[in-house]
Amino acid sequence: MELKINKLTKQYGNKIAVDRFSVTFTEGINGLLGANGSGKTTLMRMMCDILRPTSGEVLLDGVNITTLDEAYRELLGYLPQNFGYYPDFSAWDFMLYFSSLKGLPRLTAENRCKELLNMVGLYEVRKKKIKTYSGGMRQRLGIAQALINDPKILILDEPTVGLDPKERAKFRNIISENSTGKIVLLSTHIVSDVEYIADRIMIMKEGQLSQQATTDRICDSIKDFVWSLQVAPNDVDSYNSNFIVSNLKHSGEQVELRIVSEERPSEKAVNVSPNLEDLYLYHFKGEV
Amino acid sequence: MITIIQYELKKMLIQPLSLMLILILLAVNGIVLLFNSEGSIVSRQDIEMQRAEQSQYAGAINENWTTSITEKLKSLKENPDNLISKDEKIKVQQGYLQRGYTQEYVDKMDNTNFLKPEILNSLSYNILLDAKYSSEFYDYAQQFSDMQGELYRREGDGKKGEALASKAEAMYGYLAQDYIAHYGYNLGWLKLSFMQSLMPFIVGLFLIVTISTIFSKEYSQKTDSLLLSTKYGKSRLIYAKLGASFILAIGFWITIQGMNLLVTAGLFGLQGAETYVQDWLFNNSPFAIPQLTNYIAVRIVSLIGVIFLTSIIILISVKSKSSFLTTVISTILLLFPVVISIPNVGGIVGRFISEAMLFMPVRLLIATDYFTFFRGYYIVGKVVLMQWVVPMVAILLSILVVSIAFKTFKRHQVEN
Ligand SMILES: Nc1ncnc2c1ncn2[C@@H]1O[C@H](COP(=O)(O)OP(=O)(O)O)[C@@H](O)[C@H]1O
Ligand SMILES: [Mg+2]
Repeated sequence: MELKINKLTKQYGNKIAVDRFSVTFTEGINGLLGANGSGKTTLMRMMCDILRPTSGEVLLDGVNITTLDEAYRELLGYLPQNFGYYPDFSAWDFMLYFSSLKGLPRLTAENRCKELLNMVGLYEVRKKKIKTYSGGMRQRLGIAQALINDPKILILDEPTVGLDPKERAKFRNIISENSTGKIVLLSTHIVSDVEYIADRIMIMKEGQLSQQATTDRICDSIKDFVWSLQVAPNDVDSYNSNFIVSNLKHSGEQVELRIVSEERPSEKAVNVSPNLEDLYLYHFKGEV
Repeated sequence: MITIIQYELKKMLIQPLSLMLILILLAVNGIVLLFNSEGSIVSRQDIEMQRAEQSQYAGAINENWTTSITEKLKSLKENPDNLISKDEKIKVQQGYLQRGYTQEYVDKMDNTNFLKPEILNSLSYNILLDAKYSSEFYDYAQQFSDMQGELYRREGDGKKGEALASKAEAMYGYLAQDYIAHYGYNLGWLKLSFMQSLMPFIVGLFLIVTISTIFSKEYSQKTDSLLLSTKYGKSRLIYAKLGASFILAIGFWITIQGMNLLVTAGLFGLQGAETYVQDWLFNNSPFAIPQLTNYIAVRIVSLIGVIFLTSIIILISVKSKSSFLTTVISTILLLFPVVISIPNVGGIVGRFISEAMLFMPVRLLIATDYFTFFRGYYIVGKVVLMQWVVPMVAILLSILVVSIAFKTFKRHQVEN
């Protein structure tokens, strides 16, 4: 199975939200990393057949998804960013409703919903109205909803928003466990969401794909650009304004800085191995 | 599919406002059923008395019948027991003279003027008068035949005027010459007819509040992205939404019609199904159909009205971004023709307005007045009655509007 994005473009007036985006997804977890406004949501909507591209196409095994229509959406699981819910529905109703929209027979649906609600820890409260849920609970319900039809293509737009650290860890496990044989794409502007579970990372910037690689190679591009340096507290401000400081740690009288820079920031700086956080900052320096 | 329809119904009805509204509307409808036009609770006793009195004269209006009514009225008026005393009579006559009537007029005055007040106000006397008026049914029908014929020949040009005139003459002529009108007690049918005027405020309001949300709420609630990305989100879901809307609309309409029928049957009875409908004042129906047939005809048009109204609310809902906005637009657009009376401007504009008003969904929902006058359209050399044209147009427009709504949601773009 291969999902090919071919020069996909979406333009709103003068604003190009997604700009000739081309990439080919294969099975595995793909992390889409980008600052707010970089076009992740717009890209995902076009991939979910709910937003018409200005130009370009999305092909599943060579066939345009709009031609596939139902046959494509049958394979799809989607968690939109800031999705809505029916406040007076219970989680159970909500799940069964979407089960029927996804074409599951009643009995299969009930078993599946039970399984998923157990998985996201909402089974006990399934009869409560969604309006009484916390943000994290709603987000978990959204994740469960996306998995109902055991989708071959799972698209999650900022899935960890509203989750606490424990829920985030749980979420990563759920995705890892449910990703075999699937194309999973999850967008985030939080590096740690994808750092451990993604097989591939894509960095999206101003509507374009600015870098992509497997997770273990993605940082190679900046492997000579990350430095560690001990400075006096008085000098911190000057480094902060001249360089990207990705971390700052007090150690005794001195301050230890982690700096992302193509040039050696100081004679005393030593090269250290980069992480994804450094890469993110390297790409989005002006925007954070 | 059925499951999806159930959930769509649940979405519409689960809002606290919907349930409260149902209760309020049922209560209002019930109260109106129990009150008479003077604003007091209808009394079973009065109804029974009227039924007994009128039923004496129930039957086909023909020469024998007319003669017997005339005789009865005459003997009532000639019965000295029913008349005021000599002295009182002179007083009444002097009163007339003082007000400027001539001696000759006063001498010729009929006994009606000298009936005792208790007779004048009595039920039996008034029912007799009513029967007497009914005996003129065929004369009125003939007058309408002549009047309408003359009107269309004068107004219409050439062939068209002639065609319409002959159609009107034929219909009223049939009532005057061949039709046998029946007289009898029929308060139940009159009540049922009156209840139709409440439809916009009961069924109309209910539909506007509940069905407005069907599509627009998915936008405002941001559930559209979830729905449209599911397998059936662009097909069965839309059918289910349309289905749920019509089930709710027709279901509520049937509930109200059923309630009206049952309560009316219990309170007034449904005798008089065969009686005539024309009062030749507000109801100048050219149709030779009695109460029961008229009732059915009105309900058919009203049902088409419900479908038409629902279709338009659905269209507004699918096109607008918030359900509040949908409710406001629907209310103004759909109910205003009955709430606000349009000033009677003459000329072409006035003609156009009155013509357009005939096609207002809310007018179809009421439906009673469609069967109270003659109106025809001259289409390719033939006269087609308005009572056919309007429902047909409404059905065609409903189909058109619903298919536009279908395509609109199918092609809806999630952009914010
Ligand atoms: N409906 C729209 N109309 C106009 N501009 C839009 C619309 N949707 C998105 N945009 C713009 O497109 C860009 C990308 O937005 P989005 O896809 O939401 O980014 P992300 O999900 O990465 O935060 C932003 O600059 C946003 O303002
Ligand atoms: Mg986004």
